[in-house]
Amino acid sequence: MTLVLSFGATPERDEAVVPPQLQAALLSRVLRYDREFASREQRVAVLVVHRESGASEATARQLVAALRSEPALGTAAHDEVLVPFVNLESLVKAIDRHAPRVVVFAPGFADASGPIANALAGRQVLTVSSTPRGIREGFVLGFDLVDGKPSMLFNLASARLQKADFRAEVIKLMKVVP
Amino acid sequence: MTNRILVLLLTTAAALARAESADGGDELGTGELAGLLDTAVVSGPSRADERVDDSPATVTVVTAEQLRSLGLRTVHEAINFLSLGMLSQDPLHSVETGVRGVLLSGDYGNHLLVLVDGHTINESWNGTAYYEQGLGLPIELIDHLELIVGPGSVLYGSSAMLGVVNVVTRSASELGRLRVSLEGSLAPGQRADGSLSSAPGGLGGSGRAAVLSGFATQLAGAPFEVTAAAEYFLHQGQTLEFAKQTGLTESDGTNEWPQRWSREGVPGEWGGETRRYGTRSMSLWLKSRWGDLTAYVRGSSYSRTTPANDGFGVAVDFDGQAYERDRFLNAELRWSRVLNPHLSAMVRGYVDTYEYVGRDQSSSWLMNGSGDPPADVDLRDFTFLQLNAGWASWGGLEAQTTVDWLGDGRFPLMLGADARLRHFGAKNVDSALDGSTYAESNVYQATEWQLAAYAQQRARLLPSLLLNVGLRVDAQSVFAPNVAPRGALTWTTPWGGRLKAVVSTAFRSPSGYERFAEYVGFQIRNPNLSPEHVLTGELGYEQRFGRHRVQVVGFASRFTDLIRLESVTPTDELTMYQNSGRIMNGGGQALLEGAAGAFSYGLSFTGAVAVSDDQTLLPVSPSWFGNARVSWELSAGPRLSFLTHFSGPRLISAASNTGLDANGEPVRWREGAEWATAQCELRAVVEGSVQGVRGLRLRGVVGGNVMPSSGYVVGPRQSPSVDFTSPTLAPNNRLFALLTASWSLD
Repeated sequence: MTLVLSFGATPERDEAVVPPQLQAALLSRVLRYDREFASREQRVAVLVVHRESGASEATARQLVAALRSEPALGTAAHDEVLVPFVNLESLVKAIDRHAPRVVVFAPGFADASGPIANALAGRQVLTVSSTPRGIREGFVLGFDLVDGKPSMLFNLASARLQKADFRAEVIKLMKVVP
Repeated sequence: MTNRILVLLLTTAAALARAESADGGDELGTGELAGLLDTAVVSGPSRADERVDDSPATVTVVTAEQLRSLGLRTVHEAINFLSLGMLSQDPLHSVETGVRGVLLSGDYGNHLLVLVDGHTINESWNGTAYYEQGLGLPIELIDHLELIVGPGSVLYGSSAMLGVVNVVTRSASELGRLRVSLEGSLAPGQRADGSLSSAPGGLGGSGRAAVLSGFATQLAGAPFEVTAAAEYFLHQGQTLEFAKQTGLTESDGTNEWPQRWSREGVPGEWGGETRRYGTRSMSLWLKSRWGDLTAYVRGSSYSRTTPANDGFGVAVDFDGQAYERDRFLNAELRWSRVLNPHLSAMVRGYVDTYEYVGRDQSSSWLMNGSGDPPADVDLRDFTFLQLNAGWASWGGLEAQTTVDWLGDGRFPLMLGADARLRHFGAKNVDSALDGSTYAESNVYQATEWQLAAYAQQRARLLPSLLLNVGLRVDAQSVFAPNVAPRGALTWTTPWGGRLKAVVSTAFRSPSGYERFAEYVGFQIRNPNLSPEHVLTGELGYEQRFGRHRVQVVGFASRFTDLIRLESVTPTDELTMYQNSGRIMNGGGQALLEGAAGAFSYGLSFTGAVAVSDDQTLLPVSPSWFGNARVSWELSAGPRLSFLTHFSGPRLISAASNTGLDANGEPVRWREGAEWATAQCELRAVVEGSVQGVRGLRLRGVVGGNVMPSSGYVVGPRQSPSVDFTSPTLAPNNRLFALLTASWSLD
């Protein structure tokens, strides 16, 4: 039983993850439909944040590599920065330092998504979760794997707070969460 | 013909893409994004999640939504109505499945590997796997199916000769708290000429009840979830009429008398009307995941009876109490963790058991008598009971690690090892109907081990170039080691298409049944059989046009050392399984599918030639087949769909059989009778939610086969004779209606 308990305690293994290559392809294209993003940005920074666990960091690194292979995010050139999550304050400092337009969260933020979203309210930062967790709590965009296919989740209220303005025709392709 | 179809597919796709763009009125066009959202993610081909178009194989992904909305109740139906390159046929008992024009009749599915959440279902006695209700999984439990065509031993070992069917089950959150499905169907009786009977007494039907539940929470800081399911299915077939076969005789070497095929029928005569066509299956499923640990247990029982004697002991007596029953119990405990960005590990232990019982009740000494006949009975008025039992238990431990050299997913190396121990055996018991045993035969049992090691390197050489190379070595206690390599290269073209080249191999170890089964006076053992092999090369191209997708694949395969039941010597009546078969196989496949607004469609076609080493075509294996479907999401909510699958003419199962006339000259089937007609099944489905009742969905299906009969020869006369040159073919199900009610609580 002791062995089992030690095996069992990995909080980030909570759902299937859309392969990072596919997440990067989806993100790069969906940003074309964010009027705020598409009209203003020439070059953007993307923060990819992970927790201190193997699965979270591995997915984050794969996301960075996949995003770097995308020629553009929306229509903008982009630079990715890998950031380990220590606490909310350090994350906000990292955001202040790099001024990212997009922050992608690797798996493992189910318990921290609400406070993070609150801290970023009012900033023009698009929060993206690589899992479906955290969208209901405040991240704007998330990826899920349903029936063996990727799907996008969208939090309309958070989008307004984080000043994202996606076109209606692309919101039709997403699952909008209350 | 294939070229014309390909041109038609490409032209149609381009037209639809243009139409969608124009219709959208959107200068950016969301087609590309929608296309990406339609791109399936598969885990079967590489044992790692990847885009289906990046995977080292040709794969059809069937989603739970398709299964539900298109009224598909089994994997067998999903294969026929949706797959690219797979075909499944119903000989009136367990279905047979083939890939790319190679269907090996009578193999009980042992050339196709079936996985449920990565766990091998094919049993270890004869390699059996089922695709109809016998699979033992409620269809509502399935998240998606990966129908992988082509050899797959590189990661899975034996049995993945024709392909792999990977069943992925739903998680607790996708399943919801409670889901209940009730289903019933009706089918009218059928006459010998295939026409439908209006007699109410001829009606057959089926009933199914399934209960599924999912539960998820946090336990000791880690996510914990349980999925559970139970299903009961009962099918009592409609009345079927078979053309009578007469003049059947048998002898004990001294006397000859009319052969009995029924206790109540006329001696020497087979056929007429029967209701002995039915299925009963039960299954239980329990899966739990807690953090890195996953455990599951699956149990199933699958019984079936058929009126059609296939000439090999299935339901010998036309009106007897004959059936076959398979029972499976599978259990697995798996631990997996990503240790750091460079290293992940998985260990799983598994234990499985399987039991087969075939119960034949026969009044025919020739079919069921063995050993010396009892001296005190009249063989002309005697009923035999034969129980054919086979069983297997196996278990093992598999360890796997993935080394991601750069820690960014571009160059992962997978290494694995699997150690397995299996025990299997069989026994036949012949007795009188009162149960008094007088003979045991075909008795054997064996314990064997197997060790395997495999490696797979995936490499994104360039952003547009993906390499996948792998190798598996299987060492077994009774066979020389087998090496199964695979290599695949996928290039993403500048216009977004995927050009894919794959060379793959597979093997199948001889089953315990093939090595040890013996029947006095008919079949002797061959414990020295060696594994079968296949080598396949394929080149494919796939292109998306928004939500429309076109795929074309060309392939060539060489099957060697195929195990066939053949005469020990050309003049000998005794047979044994031998590594004597070879097949050369080649052809092309094409697929077009997509959606525009509320309309969706799909069309697939496979053309293939498969020729044995004696230059003959494979029986019951059509050289072209495919499927098509259209669906509309009506404005009121329900979805209306029309589906079809079709296949070309094929040799009947007994095409090569010959008889002898009084002068010893060969007698053949009448000209043309060795061919069965093309086949076509049609289906109309309406499915949708019921307004006002939360969680309730209803589905109605009407369908049936256009052609009255399949290519399987039934009845005692499996060979032509002077007075019998037109074989009796197994009837197809001509018409059925199905209603399903499903209620879910999320």
